Amino acid sequence: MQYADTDLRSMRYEDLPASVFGPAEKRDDTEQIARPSLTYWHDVWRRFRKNKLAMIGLGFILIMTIACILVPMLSVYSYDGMDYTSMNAAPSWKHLCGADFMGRDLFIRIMYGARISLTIGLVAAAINMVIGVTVGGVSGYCGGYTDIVIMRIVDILSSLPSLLYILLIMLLLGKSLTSVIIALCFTSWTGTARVVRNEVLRLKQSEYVLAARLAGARTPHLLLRHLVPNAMGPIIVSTAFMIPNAIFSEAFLAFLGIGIELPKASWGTLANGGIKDMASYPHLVIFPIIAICLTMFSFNFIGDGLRDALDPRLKH
Amino acid sequence: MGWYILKRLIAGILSMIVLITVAFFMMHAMPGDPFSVDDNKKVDPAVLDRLRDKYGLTKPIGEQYLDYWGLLLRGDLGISLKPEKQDQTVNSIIAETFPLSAQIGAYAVILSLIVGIPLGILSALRRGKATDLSIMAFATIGISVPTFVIAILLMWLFSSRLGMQISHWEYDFQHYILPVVCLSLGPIAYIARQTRSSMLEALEQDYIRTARAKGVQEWKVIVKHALKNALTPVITYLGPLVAGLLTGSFIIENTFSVPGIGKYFVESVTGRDYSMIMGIVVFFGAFVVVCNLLSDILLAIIDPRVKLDR
Repeated sequence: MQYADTDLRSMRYEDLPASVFGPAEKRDDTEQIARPSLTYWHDVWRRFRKNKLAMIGLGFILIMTIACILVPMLSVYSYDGMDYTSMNAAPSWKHLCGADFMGRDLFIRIMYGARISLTIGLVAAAINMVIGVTVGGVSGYCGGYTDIVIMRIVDILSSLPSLLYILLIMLLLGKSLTSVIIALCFTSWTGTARVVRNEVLRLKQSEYVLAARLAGARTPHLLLRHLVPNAMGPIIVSTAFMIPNAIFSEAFLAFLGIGIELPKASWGTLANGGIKDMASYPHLVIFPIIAICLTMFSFNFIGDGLRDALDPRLKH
Repeated sequence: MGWYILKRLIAGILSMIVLITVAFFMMHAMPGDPFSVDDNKKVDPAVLDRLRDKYGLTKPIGEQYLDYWGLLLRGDLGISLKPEKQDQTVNSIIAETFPLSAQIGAYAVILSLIVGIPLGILSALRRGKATDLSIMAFATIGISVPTFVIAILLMWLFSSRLGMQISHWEYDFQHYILPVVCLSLGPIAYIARQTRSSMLEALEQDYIRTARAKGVQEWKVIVKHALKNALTPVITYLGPLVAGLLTGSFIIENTFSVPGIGKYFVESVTGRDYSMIMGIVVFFGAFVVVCNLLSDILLAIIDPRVKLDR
């Protein structure tokens, strides 16, 4: 007597006919593991995806990136196009965020500001990561006098408020995007370097490094294939937090009036420009501030999400 | 301990020497000098040259560098090169402006500690509840929103909405409160987050369970057993915090018209006031070195697990 699969499942154990008990047919897929095994990075992405705030942040940054590339290309306004009929215009359909005291469309200026801020954030963080990883890796790996000398330099650089160096460098190099980035990178890599050094110091004691060394691996190979990839978690986290830091510092510099040359405007410049007429035209300050805050929120959420995803032990 | 302090002091002095050297040559490499800025265009070049002569700016750079060290070792930071300061010494400018910045900074440090630590503890004890979530939401805002944005918002609220007079400085409560609040929001958020996460870690430890099992009162468990161990990261943060806040923030002092040292900070750099720049570099540098050393020593006193001789 044949039973359908579903019938058997619904039956009680005692009612099962004897004929169904027998050696199972050999099938190929019985030997397979049910789910594909996840690599570390799959796992990280799975954990990161669960973090709603981090995903919202990521979404916001992606939209912002696409918008700041496309909007200025498609819009009828340019960042320095003046229109004397709409000076200090309030937000309307014509000017989404209003217009400034020269009748320049604020929305488009914020979009150009986004280009500047995001570029600075990403480039500065990338440079930071490269310098920090190299210096920290070498310092931790070589140890001895190399380590002492490098760490003293790091101490000296990080012992003063970075604004001091940044001011000196900005005045030395003049106002431009490049000099802002150089100035911001001058001291901020020290944090990453410290993190990487500590990781490398810890990891170089491990057995797999010893095994690789016994197998004849040379220093660059050890550093690039074994130490740095295994220290990647903390490196990514410190880089992720570097982005909002760089954007913040740039906004701060612009606010002081030593950022990027006018009439190009970063968010800090816009906020600073609007502050004089804040009482009568609050939109000139409010919109740039909203842009800065949302971006900072997003990057901080992403950073928190990455930290929790990369090292679940740290999660609290 | 004594040996460690000596070692750190020597390292600090070496850092200062390198710092002074780098800052000195970087400063002189900047285009222009104190007497070539815009508002001096109408002045006869011969007069400017005599001014440069008077302040020793025509000497070779190496000699100027050595001269500066000569002054510095006698505790003299030189004379401000800006005519409007009328040959005031840098020492006296710092002595005049630093106390106010330090006072506001000190209030801000105290405020951030007495608000931040309890918020962190509360948040850790109510983990996952509405209290925790709202405190952490506030902390995220405090960390993400730049100081100048907070300054703008506070100023807008208090000056145009509530009609408070903050366009000039006076030594009363009303004028202190805004800069202090503004300066402390970021640190409060950071301290609350740090305290929360290290409290959570501490509360999971075995000795907490032991203490509770022995019947120790709950508040004693929290304050004496958990908090004492959870404060380490906060104390590590205290050094840079004190250094950062006491030396004055340019944005805050400018926005709220506080006549503190932070205002001279940027002014002197943009105005190429060489001796003022160097004075601030030396002063801030020494201050930061001492603050970091003190916070490390404090940490070793509070937490015996921390070994100073690394």
